[in-house]
Amino acid sequence: MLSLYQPGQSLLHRLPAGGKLLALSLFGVLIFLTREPLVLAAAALGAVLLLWHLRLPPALLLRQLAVTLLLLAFLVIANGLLVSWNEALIVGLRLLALVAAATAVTYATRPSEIIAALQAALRPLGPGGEKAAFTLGLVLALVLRFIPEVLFRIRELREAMAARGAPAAPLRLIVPLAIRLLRSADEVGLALEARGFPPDLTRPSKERIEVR
Amino acid sequence: MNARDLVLVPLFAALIVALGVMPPIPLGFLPVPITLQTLGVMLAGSMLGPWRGALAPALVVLLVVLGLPVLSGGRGGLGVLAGPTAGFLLGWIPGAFVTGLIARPILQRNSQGVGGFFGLLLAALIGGVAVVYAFGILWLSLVGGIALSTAALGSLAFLPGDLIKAALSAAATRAVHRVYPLVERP
Repeated sequence: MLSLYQPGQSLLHRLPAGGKLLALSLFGVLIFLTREPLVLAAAALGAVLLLWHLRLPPALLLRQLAVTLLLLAFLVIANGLLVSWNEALIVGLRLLALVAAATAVTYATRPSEIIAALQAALRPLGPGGEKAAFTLGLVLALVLRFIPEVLFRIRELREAMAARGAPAAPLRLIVPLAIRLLRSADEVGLALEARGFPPDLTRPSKERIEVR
Repeated sequence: MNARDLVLVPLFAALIVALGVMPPIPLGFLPVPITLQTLGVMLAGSMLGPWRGALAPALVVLLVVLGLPVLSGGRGGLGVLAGPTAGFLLGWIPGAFVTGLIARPILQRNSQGVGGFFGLLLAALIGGVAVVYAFGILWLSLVGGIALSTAALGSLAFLPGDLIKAALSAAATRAVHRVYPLVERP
């Protein structure tokens, strides 16, 4: 599965992933603390400029943001009619700033960098954190491996149903799908155990041994 | 947690993703085809139990954070979590947990009778529908500045589809549990 990340050389691309996530979270909190339309307008403008300076193809942005923008327009109109147009302005600017900034971070940050940042944040928490960082990496690798497999199984079952002239009933798809997937979970579980899972994280790993 | 438990969480996370990516199934009597993504959440809760069940949608949320287009319609990224509908996504985690909490004792006793089906249906309705909607509507109301009742009214359009998914979840969980019990007897 391809991520939404778009390669580039912009300033946002070059910042560290952990810093971007922290800054975005802080931005998300701060923006709910103010109700000043001028401050919010400045924040929204800054966020939109941030997104604009990534120079993404407009079609790409539109496909990703169409639903959110429609809902945003609906919320602004609903607020204007039911509460006041001042309130509508506050809500609209606030959501625009948040969504634009968050979308910019997603398009400018490699998923692997976010994973590395999360693991780096977990590791200093002692043996538990070390184990969590390891498990996180393994589980993410597994889910990325399973998505195409599940899609393949779904197509296989649908084709088998179509070949027999059976109508595409959800229940007739879900039950055999779940059973096949649970079987493959057993196989992968055994394969993991055969390769020494759970690992002994108290032993020094290859990466941490320094060769002089 | 043994290796199989560890595998089940990403497996059901992948199921939730795949159910959103695959072409939607037309249900005949509903005008719009529904995506089955929330069905995956209900199945995770009722088949895996509360803890493993909640971890599966949590992993999907993590994939969204990483910027993978794992939600229905190919959406994903931090923009979704910053948007007004993020509550419906984050509500999946407690939703699957509550579904599992209610479904577990039913599966441990006897799920094959008529009572078993209705018990599992109730689990999916409370966890997969009520809890998810509660989070989604509350978030929409807080972030969107609209009244709770307005937010609830706007979410009603998705209710018929979700009721069908709850029934599907109950029937599928019962059928799968008969051949492949994941929730062990105490």
